[in-house]
Amino acid sequence: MIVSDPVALERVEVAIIGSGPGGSVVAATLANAGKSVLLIEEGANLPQDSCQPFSFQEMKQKYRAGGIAAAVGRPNVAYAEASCVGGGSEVNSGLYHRTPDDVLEEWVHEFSVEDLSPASLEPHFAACETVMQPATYSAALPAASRLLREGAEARGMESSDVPRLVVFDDTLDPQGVARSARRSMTESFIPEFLAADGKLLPKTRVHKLRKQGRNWQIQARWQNRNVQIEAENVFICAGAIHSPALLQRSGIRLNAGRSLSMQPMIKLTAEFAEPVNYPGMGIAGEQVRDLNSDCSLGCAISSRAHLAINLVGVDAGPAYAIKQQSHLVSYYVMARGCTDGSVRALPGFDDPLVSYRLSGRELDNLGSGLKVLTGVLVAAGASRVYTGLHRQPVVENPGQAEQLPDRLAPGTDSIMTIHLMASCPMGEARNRTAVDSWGKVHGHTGLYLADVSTLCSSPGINPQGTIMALARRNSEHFLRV
Amino acid sequence: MSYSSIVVAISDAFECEHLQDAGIETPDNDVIAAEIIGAQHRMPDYLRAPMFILTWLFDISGIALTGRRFQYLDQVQKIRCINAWRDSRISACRNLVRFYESLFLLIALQEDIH
Ligand SMILES: Cc1cc2nc3c(=O)[nH]c(=O)nc-3n(C[C@H](O)[C@H](O)[C@H](O)COP(=O)(O)OP(=O)(O)OC[C@H]3O[C@@H](n4cnc5c(N)ncnc54)[C@H](O)[C@@H]3O)c2cc1C
Repeated sequence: MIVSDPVALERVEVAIIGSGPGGSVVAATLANAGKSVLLIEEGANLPQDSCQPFSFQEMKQKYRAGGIAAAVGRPNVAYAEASCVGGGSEVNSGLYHRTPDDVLEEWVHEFSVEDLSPASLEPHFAACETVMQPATYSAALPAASRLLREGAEARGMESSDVPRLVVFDDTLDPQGVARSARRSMTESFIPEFLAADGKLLPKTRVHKLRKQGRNWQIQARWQNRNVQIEAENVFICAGAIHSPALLQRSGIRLNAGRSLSMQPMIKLTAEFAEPVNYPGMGIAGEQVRDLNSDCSLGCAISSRAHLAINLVGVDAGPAYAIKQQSHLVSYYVMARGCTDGSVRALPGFDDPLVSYRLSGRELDNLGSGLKVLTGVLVAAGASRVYTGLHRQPVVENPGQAEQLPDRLAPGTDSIMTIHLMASCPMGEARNRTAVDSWGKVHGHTGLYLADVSTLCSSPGINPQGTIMALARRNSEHFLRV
Repeated sequence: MSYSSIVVAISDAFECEHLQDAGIETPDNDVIAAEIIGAQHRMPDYLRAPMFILTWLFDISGIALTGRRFQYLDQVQKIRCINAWRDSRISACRNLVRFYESLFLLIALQEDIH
């Protein structure tokens, strides 16, 4: 049921704050187990088709701050987060990975996470996959994918069509590529949660939590009114920035927001002699792993507007992108990322201050990843590659690709991210974790975290698969104890 | 003299620089400027105030370069001012231009991608 008036709410057994992949999976798991669950979400409850995917309209409707935010540092890193029922799953590309084994091993060793292994996570991945059905292209690949694969193979690198959380329909686009739509939380776990008698309260921002006796009092703002909701247990699932900010506003500071990690990205544009792009070209899920730079190379959105923005600063500029759109494709390099950021709730401000210091290693990795990607695209037949770097010449042959700098300059302005994480890491190593191995906030009964913030570090892959599996694992543990 | 006239003037300059010969129809710059200002109001509060202040400074900086405020310049001089900030050694100046340019293009060039 969608709650229309929270004032009338009785005390609930479990309140979940934030309805992204973390919160939605917890909500469905607990409601299916018969708990009385209230899912509170700051953003609006909008259907998938309320706007065009990846449009300005979508940024206005479904992103926090209209999709414009920056982590302060040198350089500032632009970032985007969603704020709507379903969280990031409503706006993302749905690229799906299971957590790599070596990453889990690293978390166990460095953060002393209990009972975390590929085998112990397997049933949780499998259960989430039954609902989300990650799938790859069955027929033709989009041209952007095909070219990345050809270039990678020519350079002896492995490339694959990463499964995505989408529903393919039966129709093909003019290039024979299957059309698809996102399988987001509002298309999967949230309907399941509602069917299990869960209550969803959208457009309600939780400001603070206070322990009162055995319960938690949730202080929130709904329709310009302050409301208070009581819950025996609270799961905070507000994402990498807002989970630690809410903890801090509630006076809980132990390792909350001190270790923000992100996967910094930089985009480039390749031009091909033959037409390769067309309005409506599906999301290209191809990814190449460059082991030397610890970077993923993949396909970015190649709409007219995005291409024009990428070509700002290039001689012919956006006008050229408009004229040549059908010959241009945008790609990205995404580094694994370190843990050198922080989130601080500022008194008197609504938004927490996010800062991030790009390390030398990240600048090295992005630089060499960009060089490799440029080489791959030249090998795929690109006649030009526009690197987007300030004053960097256009690359037209392998020799020029080799001459690109090995390290990005610290002042590079175009670095951005859509993957923020690890601001409240989990584990038993109390000196560096905010929650225990199962998401319980250290030192506080009835208070849990289950979202991207609890990852110990960047997994180096798109994180939604990891978030969902961990959220399910932690909810099942909650039900057992 | 209003804030919105600065943003309209910035949009006019980008239209002239990037879209004049592109042969496509775009929304009016008044409409684009209103969207940009709306986006500024949605920004995190610690970025919003610096953004407004920098925009006013940008307008006034036209005086140093050309003797008149940015919003009263002709398109050629406006683009000169924008280039001075685009190439500035101060990252906040470069970022301001980047912010306006990206949003202008995103709004002006929206298309149905399906
Ligand atoms: C453009 C884009 C593309 C992406 N592509 C991919 C991809 O292809 N594959 C992938 O794996 N990942 C991708 N990601 C990242 C992925 O979407 C996120 O990692 C994931 O959504 C995080 O899940 P979460 O549940 O931790 O938090 P979120 O999804 O961020 O959800 C948190 C929710 O909590 C709400 N909230 C916050 N504070 C409060 C409060 N105080 N009160 C009430 N509600 C609150 C927010 O409004 C939000 O809806 C992408 C992200 C973006 C932005």
